[in-house]
Amino acid sequence: MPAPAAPLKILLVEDEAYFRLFVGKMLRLVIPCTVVEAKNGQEAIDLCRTSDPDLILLDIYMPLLDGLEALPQIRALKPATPIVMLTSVSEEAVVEQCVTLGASYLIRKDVHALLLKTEIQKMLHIFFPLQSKAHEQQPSAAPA
Amino acid sequence: MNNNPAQPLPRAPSLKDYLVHYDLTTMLETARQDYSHATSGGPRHLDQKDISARFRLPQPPTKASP
Repeated sequence: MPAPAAPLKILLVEDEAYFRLFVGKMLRLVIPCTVVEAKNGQEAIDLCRTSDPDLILLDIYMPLLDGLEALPQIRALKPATPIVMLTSVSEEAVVEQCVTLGASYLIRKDVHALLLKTEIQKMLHIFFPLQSKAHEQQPSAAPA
Repeated sequence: MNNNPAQPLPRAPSLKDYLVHYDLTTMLETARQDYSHATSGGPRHLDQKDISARFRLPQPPTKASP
């Protein structure tokens, strides 16, 4: 029997505490992971210098240093890490900017919780197929 | 209080004073101009499907062969 995939290390960058709590819980529900939190872009950059996350979820509108300012700096530090923008911004120009600055993907967070969960699951399935699949196959991961 | 008989008392407002008159024809024309002008109006917002199409994502895993 193959060894279970190691839990993912996810860096969640979001200024709203309630949303960090909400997304953190959602992530732990859909995939084995440890979630490290940052409240703004600067904290995220500092954490990226000292740790090695498998995935970075990055908001755009944040105090001190916003997601679009932090994105190229994080990308420079972590060239191979998926950086997924998790934001309510869906303007075409901003989406294009995220692509240019090195974001791996963008998920709209201004949607219903169930839809958000589905989109996060889809994203995890794309970037971490092994971990997603292993978690889906666990009996405890089946929906109640 | 106005005790001076030379000065007329201010007229009490009536409901007529609070009526708002909308010029529907002008409003319609303004809206038509706004929405038919390429440079006016808000930025274009994308739905999740359109957003996904902008990113070059890794290929989804194919079904594992037995």
